[in-house]
Amino acid sequence: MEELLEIKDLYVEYHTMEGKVKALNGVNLKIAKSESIGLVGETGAGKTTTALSILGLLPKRNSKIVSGNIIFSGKELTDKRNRGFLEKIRGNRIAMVFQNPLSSLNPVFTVGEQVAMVFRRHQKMGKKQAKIEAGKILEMTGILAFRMEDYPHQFSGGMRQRIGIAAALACKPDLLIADEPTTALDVTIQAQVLELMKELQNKSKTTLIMITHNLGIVKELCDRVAVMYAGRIIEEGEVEEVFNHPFHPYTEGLLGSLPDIKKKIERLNPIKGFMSNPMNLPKGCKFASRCPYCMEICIKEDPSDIILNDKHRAACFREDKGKVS
Amino acid sequence: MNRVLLEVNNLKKYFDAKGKVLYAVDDISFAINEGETMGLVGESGCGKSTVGNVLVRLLKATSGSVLYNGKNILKIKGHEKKSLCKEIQIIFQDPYSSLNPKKTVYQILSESYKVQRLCSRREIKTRIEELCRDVNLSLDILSKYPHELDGGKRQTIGIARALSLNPKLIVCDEPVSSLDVSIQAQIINMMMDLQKKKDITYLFISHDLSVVKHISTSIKVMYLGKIMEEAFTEDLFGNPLHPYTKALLSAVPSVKSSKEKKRIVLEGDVPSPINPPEGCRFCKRCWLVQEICFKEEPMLKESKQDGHRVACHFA
Amino acid sequence: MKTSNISIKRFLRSKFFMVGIITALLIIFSCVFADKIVKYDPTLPDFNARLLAPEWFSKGLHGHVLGTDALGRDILARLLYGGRYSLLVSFIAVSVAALIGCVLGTISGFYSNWIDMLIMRFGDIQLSIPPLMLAIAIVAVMGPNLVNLVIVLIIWGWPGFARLIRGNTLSIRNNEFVSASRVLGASNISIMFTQVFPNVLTPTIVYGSQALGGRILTEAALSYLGLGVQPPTPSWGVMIANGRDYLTAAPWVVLAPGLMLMFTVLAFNLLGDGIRDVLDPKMK
Repeated sequence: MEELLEIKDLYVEYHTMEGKVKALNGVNLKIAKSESIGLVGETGAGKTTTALSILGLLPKRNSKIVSGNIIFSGKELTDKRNRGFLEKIRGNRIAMVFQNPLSSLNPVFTVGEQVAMVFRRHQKMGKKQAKIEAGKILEMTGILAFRMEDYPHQFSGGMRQRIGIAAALACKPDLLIADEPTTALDVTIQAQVLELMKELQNKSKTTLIMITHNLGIVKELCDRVAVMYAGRIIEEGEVEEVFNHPFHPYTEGLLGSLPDIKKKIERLNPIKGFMSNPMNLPKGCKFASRCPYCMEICIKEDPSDIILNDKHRAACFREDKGKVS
Repeated sequence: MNRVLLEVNNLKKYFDAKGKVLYAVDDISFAINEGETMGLVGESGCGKSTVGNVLVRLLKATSGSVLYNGKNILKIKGHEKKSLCKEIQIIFQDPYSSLNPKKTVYQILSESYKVQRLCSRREIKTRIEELCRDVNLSLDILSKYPHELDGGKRQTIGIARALSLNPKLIVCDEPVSSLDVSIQAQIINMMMDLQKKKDITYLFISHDLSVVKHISTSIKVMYLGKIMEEAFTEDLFGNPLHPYTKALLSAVPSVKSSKEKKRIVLEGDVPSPINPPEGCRFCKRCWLVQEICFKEEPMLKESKQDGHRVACHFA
Repeated sequence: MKTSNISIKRFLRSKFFMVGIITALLIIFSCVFADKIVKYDPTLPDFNARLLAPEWFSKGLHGHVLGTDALGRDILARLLYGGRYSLLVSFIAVSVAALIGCVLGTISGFYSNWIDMLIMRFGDIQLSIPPLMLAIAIVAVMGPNLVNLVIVLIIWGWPGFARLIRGNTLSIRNNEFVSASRVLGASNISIMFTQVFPNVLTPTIVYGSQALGGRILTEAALSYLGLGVQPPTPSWGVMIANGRDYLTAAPWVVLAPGLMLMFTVLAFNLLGDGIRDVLDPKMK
């Protein structure tokens, strides 16, 4: 499969009043065309930072891409010479859907206008045509045509999110990044949005990065999953493979600690302890202090990726106990 | 069968919304038995949080009664009302706004003893230390301020505060919804342990079905201010009867689902309780809807299973 | 009510705060220790030394450092002794106005019903009367003196505090920790003053330090018009009034108190800004 996006050894830091925050510590990820990958992890793991880095939307004043590469369609996005290219593709070839549907829409423009704007800016369409196209794509996401003249505040959360998705898909992007798009929604509305995303994926084969902490969503929507912890991808592979045979103790812990509607568990198995302070990350494996299998080497050295098989890799010093096929 | 701890009869709570009426809770009745965990689930606007707030008397009910130990707690005043605070407590959803940012943890936890004038200053210290042991908090946390602690610890303090007066019933209003996933498990386990140790009854309000399934012994499903279905947990999840319950359960993503899973997708939005439909509240989104649903409101009636009731003309 | 959770370091780092507090302290101390700094009597006229130009350059600290006024009184002495009155009046006025404003504002914001309306409308009425007219009215009835001046300043000052506190209270009382206190059995009064109040203290302090500057100016204006501090008691406003006739001939008579006024108000404004910058930008 053709590769669309590659992130190589990405290190990103935030500079705050209290000190330097090491948000990303060597992220490695390859995404092929039409793939859908789930990026999971807790708050602070670095998921949103990764998304913002790809789009070049990190706050300029207090963040820095320390080192690493982000290669999209062959072009290096971190290279300042490619800034023009990045601005062209943002919203056009790479689109993003945010978590909070209220704040990502401009309250003073009607919904139809906002989606039409995308067409006018990126596809240089005329006003009339942009309006027609906007209507089409909004209908596709379930917003009826006569509502195009309404303002964002007149819609419910779920509908706003669908508008956001419509705007994101307007230009038929190669890559869609969705950052917790359903977290703020009611369960039945979440279902609507998820089904919509499934349908759109099947139809237009958009490559998707789905950022979420909900493993159930990843299972239903994604082909692959990448588990992030303390700014790094510590396990990655095909969804079935990773969920049925988790290798990294964190992934194991995550699967064991989440209540699931289809599982019958007597007692949850929480992961003990807390994620380390990103301003003060320990040497060695960042998960060591919480790991039930921690060995001496884990405290001294940071494990590099082990390839378990062609569909599965993890960053851990554990011996491959032959669990993977 | 345990005895009934709390009995809610025909509870109604309406709000005034700029001239219109918001039917937040519209005639619900139920009983909570001692020692159980009753789950109250539903989406936004269903009224579950309102029920919780009325039970702890943060809101005044429009009509109906709530009997605790035989007494209607909605009508009591003065000393009796203050005394009741020792029996029924609440854990809030937001670990950030539920603790006073200008007070230390010690000051926050000592408030209940001071307000209820339970004991002397020296005794307060002993009791707080005991509380910390109950919730697995190290004593050095007592001198810290809330902003120095993470969400999980703050929520633990909220739980400790609810426990401080040794209540019999604790209303838990979405206690883990604002927490990070890995901390949820710790808090849920702790709440279950405390329940066994201290013999507490929980009313667990949540929109997260996976969590509710795990912790509750029985569940009530609410929609637009009414109870649509109620059953013991296993029954509800194993054999949901009401179309809304079926849709709700099918909507929840699970690691055990397959990609090809056929999901029931409800049309339209979660409606507003300002203008509830006549007849069955769910008629506008139900795929089984018939004419009778628009005219006549279905009452909760017994099904074949014990303790399983459903309000639907076709269940 | 501790705010000790903010480290002293952050205060030291704020330029506004440091400049403001050092200047303010310098001014306050020189006024308090006026008698140690100048040897002249601020109220005793000396007709041999009328309208002397500032002698800083010729005699250093021995002569009349900033010159003398029309009655031969040393200007520096009047500045520093007068400062005592200006500062004292303003401090008291602001403190009492803050106290009244806090109590009324907290009650107003907490109950948000007819009590709230009553207090706020009352405050509005007071605010709509210009301080000048208020001063004239009170002075006409009760005579011009220091106490009445303070009363005028308090009456004019409390609605500002009340409104600020009310706004903060409105937003705080929706927090769950207020509900938690209620469920624990606390009475409204207890909640208002033990739970809500500590949270409105910070904006009060910030507003208060800025109000000080304003109050000092108002006092000067009223004294200038003869409605406040009465001669021969010095105050910066009185000094400016006295020097008005000699603006071209002996400008230092007006310049000295004018500049002093400016620096003092500036100092307190900077102090207020500095405190606000340290305490406000989301520390929580």
